[in-house]
Amino acid sequence: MSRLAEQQRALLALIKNKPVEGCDDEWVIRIKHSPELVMMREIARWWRQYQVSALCRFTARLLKRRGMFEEAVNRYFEEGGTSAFIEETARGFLRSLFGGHDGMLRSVAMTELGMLGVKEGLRTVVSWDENPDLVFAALQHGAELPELDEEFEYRLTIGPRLDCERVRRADPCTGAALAPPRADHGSQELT
Amino acid sequence: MKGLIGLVDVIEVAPDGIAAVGESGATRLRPEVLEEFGPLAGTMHFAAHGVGLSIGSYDHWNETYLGLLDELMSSVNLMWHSEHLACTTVDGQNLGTMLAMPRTEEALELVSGRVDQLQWRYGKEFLLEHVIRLLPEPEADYADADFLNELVRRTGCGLILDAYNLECDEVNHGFDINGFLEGLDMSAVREIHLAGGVKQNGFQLDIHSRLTEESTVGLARRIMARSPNLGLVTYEFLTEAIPLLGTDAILGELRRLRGVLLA
Repeated sequence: MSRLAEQQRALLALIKNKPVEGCDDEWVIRIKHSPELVMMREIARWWRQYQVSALCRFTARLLKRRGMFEEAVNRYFEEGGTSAFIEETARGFLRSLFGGHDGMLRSVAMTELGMLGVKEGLRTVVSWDENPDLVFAALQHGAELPELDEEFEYRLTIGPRLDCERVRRADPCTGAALAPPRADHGSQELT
Repeated sequence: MKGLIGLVDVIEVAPDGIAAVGESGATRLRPEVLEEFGPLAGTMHFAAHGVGLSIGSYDHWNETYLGLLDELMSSVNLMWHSEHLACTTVDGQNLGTMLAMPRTEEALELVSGRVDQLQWRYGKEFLLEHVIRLLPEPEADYADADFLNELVRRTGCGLILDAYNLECDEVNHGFDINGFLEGLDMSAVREIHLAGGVKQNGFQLDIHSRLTEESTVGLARRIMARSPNLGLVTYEFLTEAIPLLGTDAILGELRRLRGVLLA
């Protein structure tokens, strides 16, 4: 490996807070624990947090409410390959939240991803366990977040206009099925 | 944008800053931004200043950025285009910051070859800008000015000198600005950048979020006086800094700089 390659790959690892293995470059060893590297890492993190806050406004607010924002952003950037372009970064970050156990967080992230797709003509349907209007109002104004709605679930359609359909939940005893959401051409259902 | 007429002669566009991911998954320039440029074409010139080409990555540069530059070139007549002499991507992963290049023969060969490719591809003048050096220096084969001089000699590219970046290096590492300017082939300097930033934990940072300090303007004037082929002075600020600075303050800064630098 060339010296330039060795140094740049080591820097990538160090900025992402990963161990540098098999590198005996003197300069890398010298900067490994330097205050300058700490500063550089801090700047990179600050930028990422700023970008996520700006482009994923509501998801960022919810994560901050949960005390998970910094950890979620840092984990995403330290673990994954990331884009140089801010919109791709935002989309990737939102998708990274789809797999968690926090249903409200998942729905907020899916809705914001849907919003990013509107200008490309995409329609997105997102399922909610809470009334999304109340969730967004609470995030906007710093009010208390609503509880899970045990009677209804909500299907939010994001497109040129927003539509929210309220559907009575299936009876757990009878197992009565819910009507499937309408899926128009060009839509994506994020569940 | 219209408020800038009369205050600026050239709009410097960062192609990667006006890009969005399209329906097909391809990254393209945002059409609504390109539409804004149309009415200005008669009164202003345009230049491109990239952030994400990563001309110094050991493995490969950013082809997506080149696609954006192709698109911009076909939409707007650019006086020239430029990039940072840095690496922003390694092994396909974005660093989230810019790494200055080591001043070695290996780095020089890599960057020179890529500058040649850019000039061949676009047939348009290309400039490189030095970036701040946040980390302590690795071993070098060239002094700062000699490295840039050799790059210019091998490729014929031009240079952007960033007065604020030079001040950052002076604060952070005791960089000898006068010695650097003495050693540099100033005929290659085509553009000067001006900016203002913040100091944190003892480091002067190149986050362009403030108005320009008097010392930076003074340094720019010294560079101007020594640069016979200078074509442009650019005040840089981040979009994200607009709410902090306010539009009126930015317009006032442009008026001030114009008055001081053209006097």
